[in-house]
Amino acid sequence: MKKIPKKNSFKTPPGYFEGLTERIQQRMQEEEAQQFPKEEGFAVPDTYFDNLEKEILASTTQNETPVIQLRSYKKYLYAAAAIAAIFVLVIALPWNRSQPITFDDLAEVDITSYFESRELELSSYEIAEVIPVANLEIDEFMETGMDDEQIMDYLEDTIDDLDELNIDLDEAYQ
Amino acid sequence: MIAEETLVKELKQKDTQAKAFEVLITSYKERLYWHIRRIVLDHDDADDVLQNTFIKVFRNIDKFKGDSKLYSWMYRIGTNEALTFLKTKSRKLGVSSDELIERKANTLEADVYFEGDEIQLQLQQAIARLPEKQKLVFNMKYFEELKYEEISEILGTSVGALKASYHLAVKKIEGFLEIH
Repeated sequence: MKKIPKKNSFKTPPGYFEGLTERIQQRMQEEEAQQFPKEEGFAVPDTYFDNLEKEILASTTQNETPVIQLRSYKKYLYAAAAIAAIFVLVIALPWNRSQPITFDDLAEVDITSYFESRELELSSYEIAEVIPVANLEIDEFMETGMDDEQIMDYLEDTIDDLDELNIDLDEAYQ
Repeated sequence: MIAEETLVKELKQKDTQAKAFEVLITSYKERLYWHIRRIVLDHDDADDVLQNTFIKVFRNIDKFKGDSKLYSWMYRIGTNEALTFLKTKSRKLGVSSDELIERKANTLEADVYFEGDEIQLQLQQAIARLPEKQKLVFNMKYFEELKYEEISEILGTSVGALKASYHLAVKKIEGFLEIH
């Protein structure tokens, strides 16, 4: 990097900074002038708000008249629902299935969603007992590899102070 | 230069804010401009973002609680405005922000407001290829010569992480310049 002169290669139009304050102020004035009016245009009848409390209170203190249904259809609905449920059950049950259901009959997607949707309360040690992690390479369960930059990004996001890791940067990048 | 605390107080008071705003622009316009220009690369976009930044600062000054320095807060707003600007512009063009900035860097030669020689042009092209964070850190450290502590306050990243980002950026730029 020492070979590159630390010169600013960018430049601005002549007099750019001199008129900047005025341009910003003018833009703010224009934006304020274009703002929507505070008045919405809605109106209420005269003295509407004066009587509002009284009207609301009056409507809450009126005695409610109980509504009595002339004929109740509820019991017919329950009966219809029960018949429909029995009908669905009869169709859905595999009456002629000769073989018992095995683990192989489960779709992989169902197994995945089962594990995703349930709190299994397995500790990492219990999982480690089932899955032989020691015999696996990291590439076997990661689709893509990680480079130094991704590792550094991960550390940046997850560790408050990278200094605590005692990475000797000069050594690390040699 | 007027003390920062006084300036903030005057910016928050109705009767003094217009004058204080002028002072604010005069005091920080160049530093902020160059910070933004290095992110968006061309003058017209930098002018747009700079104006947006000052207007945002003015309209949100009541939210500034003095937890950080005023210039850090303004740099943060300027940085966010510049990155948002690039995202919006790139979305309109149907490309990513990274692609947009690479395109801009590759056409710097034709920019009347860029007067760098071949090596400076290549340096800008190398910077344009860096990830966003490394790009910001490199520009702020190398060109703006800010301290890591100041950059940390602006970007909200630890000093250690900034040092790592800067070293990675330098390595990548050196690699790019060696090839080209």
